Amino acid sequence: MAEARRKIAGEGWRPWAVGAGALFLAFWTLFPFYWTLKASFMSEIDVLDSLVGMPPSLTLDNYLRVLGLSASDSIFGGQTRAVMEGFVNSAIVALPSAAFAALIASFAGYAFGRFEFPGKNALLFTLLVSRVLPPITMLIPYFVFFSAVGMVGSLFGLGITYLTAVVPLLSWMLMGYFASLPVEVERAARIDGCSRLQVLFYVTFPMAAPGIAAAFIIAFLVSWNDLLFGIVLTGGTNAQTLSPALLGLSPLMPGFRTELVLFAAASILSTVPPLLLALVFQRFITGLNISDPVTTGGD
Amino acid sequence: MAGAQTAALPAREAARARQMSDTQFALVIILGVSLLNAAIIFVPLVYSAWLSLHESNVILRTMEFVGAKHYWTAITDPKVLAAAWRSVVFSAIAVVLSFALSLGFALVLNEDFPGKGLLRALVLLPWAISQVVTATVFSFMLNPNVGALNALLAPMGIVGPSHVWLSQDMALIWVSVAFVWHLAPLGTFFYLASLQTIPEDLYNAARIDRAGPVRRFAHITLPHLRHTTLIVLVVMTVEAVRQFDLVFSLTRGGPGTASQILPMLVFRYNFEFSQYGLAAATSFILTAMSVALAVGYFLLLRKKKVKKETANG
Amino acid sequence: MANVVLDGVTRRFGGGVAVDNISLDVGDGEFVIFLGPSGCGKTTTLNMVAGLDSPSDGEIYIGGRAVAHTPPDKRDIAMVFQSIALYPHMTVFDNIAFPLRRARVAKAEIAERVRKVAEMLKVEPFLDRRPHQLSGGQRQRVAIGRAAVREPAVFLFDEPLSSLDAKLRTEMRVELKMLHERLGATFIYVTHDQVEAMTMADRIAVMRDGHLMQYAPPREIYRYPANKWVASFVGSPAMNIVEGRLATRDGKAGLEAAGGAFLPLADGLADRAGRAGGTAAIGIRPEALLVAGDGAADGIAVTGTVHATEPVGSDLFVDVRLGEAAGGQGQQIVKLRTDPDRDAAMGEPIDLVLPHGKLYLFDAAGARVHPAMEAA
Repeated sequence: MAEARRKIAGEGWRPWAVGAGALFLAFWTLFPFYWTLKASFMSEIDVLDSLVGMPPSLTLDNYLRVLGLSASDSIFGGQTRAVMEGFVNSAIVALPSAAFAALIASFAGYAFGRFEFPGKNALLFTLLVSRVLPPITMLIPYFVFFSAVGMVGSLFGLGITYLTAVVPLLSWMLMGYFASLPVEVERAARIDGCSRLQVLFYVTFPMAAPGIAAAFIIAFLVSWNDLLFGIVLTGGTNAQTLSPALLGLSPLMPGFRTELVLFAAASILSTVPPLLLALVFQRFITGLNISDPVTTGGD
Repeated sequence: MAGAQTAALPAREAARARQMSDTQFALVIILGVSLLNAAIIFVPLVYSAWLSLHESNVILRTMEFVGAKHYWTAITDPKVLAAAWRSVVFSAIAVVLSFALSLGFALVLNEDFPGKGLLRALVLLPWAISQVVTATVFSFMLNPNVGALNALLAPMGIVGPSHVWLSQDMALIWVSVAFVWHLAPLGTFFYLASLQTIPEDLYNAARIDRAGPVRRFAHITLPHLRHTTLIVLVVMTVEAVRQFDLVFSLTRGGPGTASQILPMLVFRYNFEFSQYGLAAATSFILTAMSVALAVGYFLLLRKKKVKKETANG
Repeated sequence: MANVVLDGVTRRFGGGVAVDNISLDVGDGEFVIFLGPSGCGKTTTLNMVAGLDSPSDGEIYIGGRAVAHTPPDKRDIAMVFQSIALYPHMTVFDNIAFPLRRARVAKAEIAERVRKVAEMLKVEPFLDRRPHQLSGGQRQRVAIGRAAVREPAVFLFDEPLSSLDAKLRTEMRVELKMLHERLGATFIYVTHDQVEAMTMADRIAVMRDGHLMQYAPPREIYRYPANKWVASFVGSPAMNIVEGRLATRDGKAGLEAAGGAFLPLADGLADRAGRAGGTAAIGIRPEALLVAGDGAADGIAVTGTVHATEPVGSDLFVDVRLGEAAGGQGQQIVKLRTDPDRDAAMGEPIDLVLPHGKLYLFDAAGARVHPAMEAA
């Protein structure tokens, strides 16, 4: 919904203020990236000199090595391979768990958003508590249990732990969204011969597609970006996910020293999926009504 | 009519049995979801509570019931208290800065200018990426030897040539700043959605009444955002309190324990010292902090809702 | 095609009663309108007929079957909503075909029936479009098509024209009436617009606060309103109601209007409204009021003062304060419809005649006591 830019007399300074704000925003967001991006195109020796100033030459070698496509050998080949494996493992875990979570949360969001029922307030409270649980609190029992039954290093087990974080979050988000959908369309579907489940699948969920898609993207990002669960439950195993793999390359980690530039390149590569999703998600922002369910529900 | 009525009675009973009411349908769904949540969330929590009441010895593989010993230890341990305090400081800095920035960003992004869409996607980026990458990105800036900040500021004489930013004194602050970079987009997103629901006509009427931009902001924008601000503050605080990934990636709680916030300590208890019971107990204390925040928010907003209804009713 | 019978239907909510013991019958193929102001219970009643809500008491019969506890999709009804409620993610064709697909009708038959209905409602050119690409009137027609394609026994309409602009509304009224003739189905229609009700209905059920005030053909409701509330609700501009007390002056019985004016009533008439001293009301429609001297008319003579005038082109409406210019407080105002060329200035005295033949009389409870309905 583009609004024509209006010229309002006496407020000529406004465009300047907005422009300055926009510039600051861009600077604030991109400045930290710039250095990492630059380093990823330099060679290690150049970086050790200084990051500032133009490097003598730019190279794609780092990216190639991370992707495992490079001709040049690296003593640390194992580490970079771990990054690519991390990409794959994270994808294997994040996609199904996000999809499953979005499905469950859609049902829960629909029930909470559309209906009143006895015990609703108590359940809302429970949902709220689930949503604010610190991840580390959930991790301890899962770790102890998985260690005991030998499920450490299992992507399936990891997927389940992601559900604990993501289902309450998405349910909370979708509640307000479903409440804002027009109810008469659902009534029309009932009269047209749909059972309640059929209304959900033929009418409500298709209508809610933008919201559910946004929820899925958020769930995916949470799983994809996760470090804590990944490093504890899959760190050092074949199932290692992306963030732990990246951390393994980090110069901040005690012990194993790797090249800064490789670390930079790997980090930048790992931002590509989230960047693409952020672009997509941005369009859904206005569509997704996530007004707080506590006060808007049942108005 | 009477005859028709009595004839209809048996049919009515049968029909009643066939049709499920709205409430029942909702309850069936809720039951399913609740069972799932119980299995994946509450059973582990109960297990964790059980763990917190036992002293575990990994080498000897024993579990000894110790009652509330761990809780007592946690509450009185200076390490825990220090970590809790650091969490408070960290959260305070992060939330205040993030809140201010996110409101400012949202106001800018609400305007119409070329490249608006791109900038809106860009602003989400720090929140959309892994916190390991955030740590990477900040480490490249803050690195004492090859970092950009030093390289930029040292020649100007502002800091020494190999200034250590993540020092004992400043580590917590810098970790907060890095977290602000990550957290602000979340608030921006909430505020932007809320700003877009303010009808243009309100501003037009104010303009005709010769209200300048500052007055329009104070009297139209801010009141509309009151509700959102509460949500933003609570969500941000909860995120800051339970935050782990960034601290772990950037400083690992260091140098020493300078940036060891409470979740970090819980992690060390569990994975470095293998004191599962103590870790579990401390994690529950951390959880209590989060839940207290959320409950406060819940109650505050329920009160507002009641007030709103009686005002309109 | 089927008839619909409501027997003692009541709907209670936590705080009160939305529908109070309504009994009426809708004949097979009849066009019945539930008319009333917002909150009178008409939509709640319709929802109960539809099956979107269940009565607390009473029973509903469609085609002789008791359906109060049957789900909506098993009642052989179709409904058109005020908000139109088309499926936004489907094309017009899919919207209309939707109920047939749910009923597992054969694909070829679906295509045939959808096209027929689309043709009838003139939405054929839009079959491939989505609802958001259509205008309000087109969308409403698609909604009607979605209902019509099922060939239900009963059509239910919930204020379907409220979201359309005035001109479109008048067009759609005619089309709906024609649709009813063509389909011969039973229509139950809810509205607050009495013009819609008067022009389209076979019978109107006038409702207020959950109660059925009167259930009769439009002419009867207009000529013989059951009480003064119905009398003032139906008809535009509204019937003038002059409130007052029964009294005797100069030997004549009549109504002493609030504010002082005295309206003498014909012999015996005042008794029908109650005893002297009791409250009563006289009703007279604006078009029935005459200015004294405009042709001979046998009626009550009243003096008044011009309070306001409304020229509307074809007519002139004059608001008149009854009684002497310097009369008591709370003088009642009546509206008169007259020739647009008449001279009437504010503050001028004016003499009115209320013809006996057009007079209505209501008792203390508001019920009409005069004129009595003629035997059919």
